[in-house]
Amino acid sequence: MSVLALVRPDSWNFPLFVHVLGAMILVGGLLAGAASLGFARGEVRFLRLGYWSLLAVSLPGWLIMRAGAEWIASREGWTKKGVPTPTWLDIGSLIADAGGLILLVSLIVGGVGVRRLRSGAGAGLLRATLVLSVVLLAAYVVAVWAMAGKPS
Amino acid sequence: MKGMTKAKELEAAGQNGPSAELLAINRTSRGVILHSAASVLVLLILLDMIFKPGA
Repeated sequence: MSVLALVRPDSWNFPLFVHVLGAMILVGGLLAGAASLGFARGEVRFLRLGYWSLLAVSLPGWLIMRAGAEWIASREGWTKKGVPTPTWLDIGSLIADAGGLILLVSLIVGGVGVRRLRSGAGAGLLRATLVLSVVLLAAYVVAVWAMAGKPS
Repeated sequence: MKGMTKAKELEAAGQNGPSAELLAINRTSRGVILHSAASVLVLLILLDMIFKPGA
């Protein structure tokens, strides 16, 4: 007899839900922020909207995603000492942590840019925030592929 | 559709800046309701895929 499908234990469901929901909020906020910054055409209102999408949506999303990731990894037993972690988990963890750092840098740079908007400057800094957001989006596509496809 | 038509009219008239009239057309309660419904639907699909009721 061969096994066609396995259903994960019920106790894993909620931590997994928290992790995936956080990731969806993170990517949604990044997409909205990058789109607003990219299509602002110098309009201060859209530049601010883009920055605040990153700050008020992506950052909380990252925190929820990362907390959920640690929770589900612990439930699945990957955090125990001596347990070798699979490649898909290593890729996901690396991109999540490096991505969090890049998000933080982009928020600091963008925050300075938003402050300077009052004096008519800051658009260049917000362009840097846009570039970092697009890099993050690309990296998270790789992370989603690694986490969902589990190559090894 | 009304918003798109108005936007095309404004663009044809050379007005590329913000328009209060266009904003009023696009900000409808139906839009908010449909957007909220779509968000709830996505959340329900996620819940269904993770919790797999009946599996």
